Amino acid sequence: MKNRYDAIIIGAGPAGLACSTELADKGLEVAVLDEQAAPGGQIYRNISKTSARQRAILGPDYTAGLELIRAFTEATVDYLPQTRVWQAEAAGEVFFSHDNRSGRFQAPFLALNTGAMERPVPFPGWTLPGVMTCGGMSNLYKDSTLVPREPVVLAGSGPLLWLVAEHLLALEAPIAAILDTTPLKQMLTAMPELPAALRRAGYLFKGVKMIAAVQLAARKAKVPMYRQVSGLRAEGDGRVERVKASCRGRELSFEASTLLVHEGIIPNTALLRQVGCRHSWNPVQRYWHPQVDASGKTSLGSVYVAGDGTFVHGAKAAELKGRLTGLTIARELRRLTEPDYRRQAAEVQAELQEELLPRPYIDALYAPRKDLFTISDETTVCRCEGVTAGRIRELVEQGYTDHNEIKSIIRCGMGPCQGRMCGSAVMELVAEGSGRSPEETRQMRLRPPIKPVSLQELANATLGEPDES
Amino acid sequence: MKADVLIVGGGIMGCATAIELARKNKSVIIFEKDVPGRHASGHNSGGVRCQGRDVREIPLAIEARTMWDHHPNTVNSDCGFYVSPRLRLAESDADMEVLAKREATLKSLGYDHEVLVDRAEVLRLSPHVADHVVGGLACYTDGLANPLLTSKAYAATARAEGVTILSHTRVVEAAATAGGFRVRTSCGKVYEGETLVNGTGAWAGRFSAMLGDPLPVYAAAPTMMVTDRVPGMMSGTSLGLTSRLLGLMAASNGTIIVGGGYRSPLDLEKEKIWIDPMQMTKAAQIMTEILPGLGQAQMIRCWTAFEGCIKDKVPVVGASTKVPGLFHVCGFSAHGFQLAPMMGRVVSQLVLGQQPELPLDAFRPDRFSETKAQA
Repeated sequence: MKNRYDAIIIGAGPAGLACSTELADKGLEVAVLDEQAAPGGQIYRNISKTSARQRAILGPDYTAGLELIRAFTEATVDYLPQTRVWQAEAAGEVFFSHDNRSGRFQAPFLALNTGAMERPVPFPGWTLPGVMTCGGMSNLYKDSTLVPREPVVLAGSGPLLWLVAEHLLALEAPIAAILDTTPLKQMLTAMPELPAALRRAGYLFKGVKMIAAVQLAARKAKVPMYRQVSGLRAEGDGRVERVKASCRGRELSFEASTLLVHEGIIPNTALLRQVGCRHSWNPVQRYWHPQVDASGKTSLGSVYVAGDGTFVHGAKAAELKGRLTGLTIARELRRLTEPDYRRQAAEVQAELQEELLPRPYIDALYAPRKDLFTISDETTVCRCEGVTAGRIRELVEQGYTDHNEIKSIIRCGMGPCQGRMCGSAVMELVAEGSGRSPEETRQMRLRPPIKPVSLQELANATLGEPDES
Repeated sequence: MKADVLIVGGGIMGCATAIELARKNKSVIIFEKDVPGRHASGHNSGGVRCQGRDVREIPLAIEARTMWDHHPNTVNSDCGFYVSPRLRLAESDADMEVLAKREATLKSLGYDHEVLVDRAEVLRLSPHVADHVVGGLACYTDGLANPLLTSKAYAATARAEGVTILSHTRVVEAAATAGGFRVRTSCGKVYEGETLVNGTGAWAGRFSAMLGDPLPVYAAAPTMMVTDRVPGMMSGTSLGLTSRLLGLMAASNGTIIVGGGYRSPLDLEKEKIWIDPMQMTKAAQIMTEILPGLGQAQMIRCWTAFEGCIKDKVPVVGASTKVPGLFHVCGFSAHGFQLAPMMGRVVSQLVLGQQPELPLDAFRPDRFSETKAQA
């Protein structure tokens, strides 16, 4: 098997697809490694295989990906689906598991388009079976047309909450309630950002229209909706049976067997931290993101990141960022002259700038609310190792502010997910207890393999020195 | 600022020595460039083993082992210690001969902590080992501990005993003076002390050179790995092999910690280690041969630490012959964790000018000049 390329692209979401298509277009040899069975990332998940009915339900924002997939399918790239990348090195090495064995690819340039993930937020009962994220629900529908047939509650803040509500309403799923946790105050703090956003009013109105339409449909279907909801919790014996919350002093309780939560989207930085590129802390979005220049180049020079992995900007922006990264790597590999590069990059950049106009408003409106990480002591924070918020607070009180040390002592973040689920919360608990901003505390180290890899896959490795053929 | 004893390195060796000295009313300052337990002391594989040790270390290891039982009294923490018998497996008759010879050697020296066992006893201790395993050498009293908890407990106890630990304080200059030693730190401050203890781990080669008594200590990065929970697979017994690299430790939570000599490339100046995935694949191959049921187990993380190693694999413990008042406690070659409590005792005795309670001749800092002459 070939194992030496001009560039290795991780991820086949909008950024990875655009980036690899751009590179292949310039005659470069590209490998694309992706975890999923089909190209599309989370947003266009399974798009090449979904039925007409699924596409109708998922709407034009979903089918917008078809063109990207078509171009990718026609491009000459080595595409490895169902491939888990578990280590990358700045020297241009990527280690992965594919088809029950581990392998190694090499290339002078890496583009780690790891995309985004839903922000994990612990609350009482979040570990009960039946609790999942809105994105997770959406994936189940895209992959296998799965729709809840028992009462379901949606709770959280952000466009995805309403998008999934829209799909579930169209699919006639029994929605017990929609609980919007966006605080009223945030709508006001977002106002100054509105004029800029209105310069691309079409995009904004589309969003507003979507949410208004969902709310209208929900009202028609007699689905109770509450705003400014707080104190969310799931209860039940061995699985979700009830969802409780409070709304402006009023206690709410709903019988439901599924609770879909969504508290925003954050860059998926696991691989980026493992490879060692420098990150910055964004105090408004409260997440770490890699430091990149306009082309997606990280502090490591030969390692690039495009798409939502750099900062959450949405699918269209991800595609444009991917294109820009592709053009830049092509120029670095001398497949694009400087004038050609400048001209082509300027076009993409202009489009990207236009695309990003509404983001400050949306970001301010749906920024994580202040009390998002007000976690009660008995709530489990680390799901892998069953560590509660109270136990973490004890350590912070003893003076520990480094998640790397906290995990060695109480195992929080030591499990198979390596802190992917608890990292944000531990950081917030350290900030709460020590008064230090996450920026001042050390980020959790990530050690390979960043995703569990079976001993069989390792034992079957073909990592030998790359052949030149 | 002045103290009786200056200790460079806030690892477990430095802290153990400091505790003993403070309990003898000596004033002690520890200089630590990061935080106590940041490197090998806090991030080793946690093995507390007498098994397989160089015969020169055995008396110290046996004494240290009893000290591990007393940690709740001595450092106010059990350090996460528990007994996990250590079983070195023989994969062939040739291996079995090696083990029998080892048992005989130990017996002739009066030690009985390593016992030759047949396949039936191997299966009693570790029911899931592969069919080709013919027997083993068992050390029933060995165990495992939590390294970070241990080094933190030692540092906390040192502080409680009045020791000053200066974290994030690198020694940039150290020199012998008429009255002892003078040390300048990265914070620009100068400290003086009568004696100086070198507990600088992986950095001991560089630090000893700074003092004019260079030791052949080099840095290595043992690469450790851990699996997800595999309940019942290890039955509480930790495993080693006779003629191949592998150490499998039965963590109390059901995971398996993999150690035993895998190494990754490093840059000591930049303090960077590149975890070598080849080490993981090598370990996985041997693991699935020894425990055939492990194929579906997941490797979930690797980690490494900077260790100070010496070619002959025994440490340097003793007074410098070149610089009066300087004492070395370093070069443990990735198996010093278990010895630490005992090191605190003997090094403090050296510093106080007493005869150490166990002979340390084999660990003399000047032993290398002799071997050089031979070579």
